[in-house]
Amino acid sequence: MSDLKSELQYIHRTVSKHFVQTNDIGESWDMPPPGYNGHQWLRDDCDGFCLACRVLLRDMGIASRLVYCELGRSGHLVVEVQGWILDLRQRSVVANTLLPHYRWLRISGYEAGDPWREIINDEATLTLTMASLG
Amino acid sequence: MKTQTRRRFLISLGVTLGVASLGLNGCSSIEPQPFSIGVVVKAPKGCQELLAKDKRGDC
Repeated sequence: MSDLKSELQYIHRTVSKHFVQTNDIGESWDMPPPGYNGHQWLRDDCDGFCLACRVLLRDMGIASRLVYCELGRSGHLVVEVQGWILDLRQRSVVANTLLPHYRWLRISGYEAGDPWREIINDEATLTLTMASLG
Repeated sequence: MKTQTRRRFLISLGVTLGVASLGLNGCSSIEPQPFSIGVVVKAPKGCQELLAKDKRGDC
């Protein structure tokens, strides 16, 4: 396993361990409390999970982006680092190519306030995934 | 004796190649691909509100 993926797995595991998932009511995004280091308990939905991961990623000097996507008809938020996805709904870090049922829509910049951009869902990623899965 | 040694070598070679081939197909991990990114769009509503209400907002 690469060093980067090991670090991402560590962050995903740390946040997940002290995270209680609540119902996704409305679209209110909240940062974790000041001084958050992964060991405080959080009660939130996918947005809160992503923002918590982003705090720890920033602390470790790892650049990340937020990705807004759709699963069925539900909006969902994940964190992306070089194509690796940290997601409240996954048990570990996974490659974006392993999530063909996610409809990727918008991606943030690396810094707060950076513009968001559309994600073009071309067939290449899906084709690659399906070929890899045989 | 010579035949036995050769047979043992061929078996070892076969096992080694078999194990090595596992890494090339079903057991290999699938690598991520970069997203194809297009034009600038609006940030999700939750992000816009976060930036408005919290100066620590990171989205």
